[in-house]
Amino acid sequence: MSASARWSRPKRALIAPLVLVAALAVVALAAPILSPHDPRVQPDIVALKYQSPSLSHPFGTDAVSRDVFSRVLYGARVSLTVASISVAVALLVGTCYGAFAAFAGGAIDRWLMRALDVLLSLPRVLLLLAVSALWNRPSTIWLVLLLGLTGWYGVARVVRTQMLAQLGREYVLAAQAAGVRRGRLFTRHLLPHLVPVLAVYASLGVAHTIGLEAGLSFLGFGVQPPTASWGTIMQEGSSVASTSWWLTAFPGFATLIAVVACNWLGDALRDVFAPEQVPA
Amino acid sequence: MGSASAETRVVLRAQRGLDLPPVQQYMRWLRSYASGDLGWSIGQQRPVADVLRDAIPPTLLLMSLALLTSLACGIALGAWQGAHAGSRGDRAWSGFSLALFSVPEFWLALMLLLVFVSWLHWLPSGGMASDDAAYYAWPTQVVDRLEHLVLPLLSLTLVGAAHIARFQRAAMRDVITLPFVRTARAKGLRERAVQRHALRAALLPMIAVSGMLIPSLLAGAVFVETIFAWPGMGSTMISALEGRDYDLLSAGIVVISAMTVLGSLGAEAATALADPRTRRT
Repeated sequence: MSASARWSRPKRALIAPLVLVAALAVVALAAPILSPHDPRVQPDIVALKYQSPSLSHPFGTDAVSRDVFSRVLYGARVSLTVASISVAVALLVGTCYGAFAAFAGGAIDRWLMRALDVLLSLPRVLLLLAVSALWNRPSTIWLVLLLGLTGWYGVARVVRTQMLAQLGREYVLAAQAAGVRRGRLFTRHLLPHLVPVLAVYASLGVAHTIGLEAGLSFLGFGVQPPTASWGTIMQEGSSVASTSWWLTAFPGFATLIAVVACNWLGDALRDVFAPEQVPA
Repeated sequence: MGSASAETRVVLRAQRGLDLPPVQQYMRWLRSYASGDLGWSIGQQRPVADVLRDAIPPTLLLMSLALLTSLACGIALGAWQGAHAGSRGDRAWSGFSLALFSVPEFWLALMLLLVFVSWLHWLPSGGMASDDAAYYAWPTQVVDRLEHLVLPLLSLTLVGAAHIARFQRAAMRDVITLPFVRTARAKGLRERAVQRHALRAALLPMIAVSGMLIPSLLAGAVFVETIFAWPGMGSTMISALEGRDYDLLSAGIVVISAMTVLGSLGAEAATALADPRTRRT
């Protein structure tokens, strides 16, 4: 195998997951065009409830005769947006924390890392469930913030490690000698080195968060009706899962596809950018 | 909240120390924990310690079995994949384990329930044993227990094994290129024996990985226990949440955090035991 063929292979492996992620984004954006029915309309809650899948309702109907296929398409908007924004929050917080620790160094760095160990020992799912339940099921915006604020620990660690590796390099010393201030040094010189790692963390993080949000919503502590993510739709179908299986099977399958797409993209990005920097 | 009179509310607030400043409340909580008093479960109307005593063993049973089966299946699959990295079989299994790694555990559990319980009627739907199990002869009791264990264990194992396999594949793929493996091949050792040598070296990182798997297994157990009505920590916590059973909730979070920390400490100690290079002098 020639050297060029060996190098191009990981990059070609990016195509399929990118296409899949893009397709999901298009489906979410085009939900109003693609969905055959209005997801909120309840045409006949007596005659048309719990209809099994048919040509006019490919994924069947729910307890109040809404079209599940349309609800899943619209649910993609909620699920994907919640996950993407909360991962953006996590990346922001984690990068700031990690960068601050690396710049500060010494005792401050040690204490910040110790604090991170404490935070990491708290079980995330239970923490989210507890906060969400005791705060009387917060609105979607709060849910996004909660997911973001409990998801940045790994990012902070990897950013700190990467920063420490860069801080001693000649180009950083040169910039410092030229009188570049810290903020500028970080944004112009160090941040570009972090982008590959952050990209990998972003896609793996979105994958994880989609599943996590679905789980919270499934237990009734995530996205609250009338807003419906895939998890919310499954929650509404959970009590009749043995008979009206389409209420849980299809939204769950959509969740699975989205999580697979993002994990696949993350794996491919890692192979291209940073095989040794990010653990498997 | 609406029905309690103002006087009752004042008395209750004073009794529970809710009129104290937060720091004092926290000290009070710490002191009661230090003296072994975990509080009173308002949902179950008995001491929290009793609730935990009933809920911890089923979770430990499920978790330890899930960890063992995940390790066994994940290591076998990952090691084979790593030794045949890039082959068609490896790619097929990689796709399969990516799907299992990605699947939301609660949905997998629901689908297993749908297929094996609702459609095929092969297995019971939940709990640890049938209601009338006490009247069975003991061999039937054992079979009954195993039947109740299959689906919760399978849900956790499929996802856990996929986690392990991903790491084991990477570790095996790295080790298989090392000089000592090449030497073994050059000496004319059979491929199976070569792989056995390589696996020993590639197993080391799995100790740390299984420590990391414990928190995600615990998280998965919350969902799986709830779906299969397994009477463990996970389902207890969910009902405590729904009933706002604060004492039980905080005790449960402490217990699960402790399990997480003990898991990673144990993994670190085991790594040090197995690999002298990681020991601090």
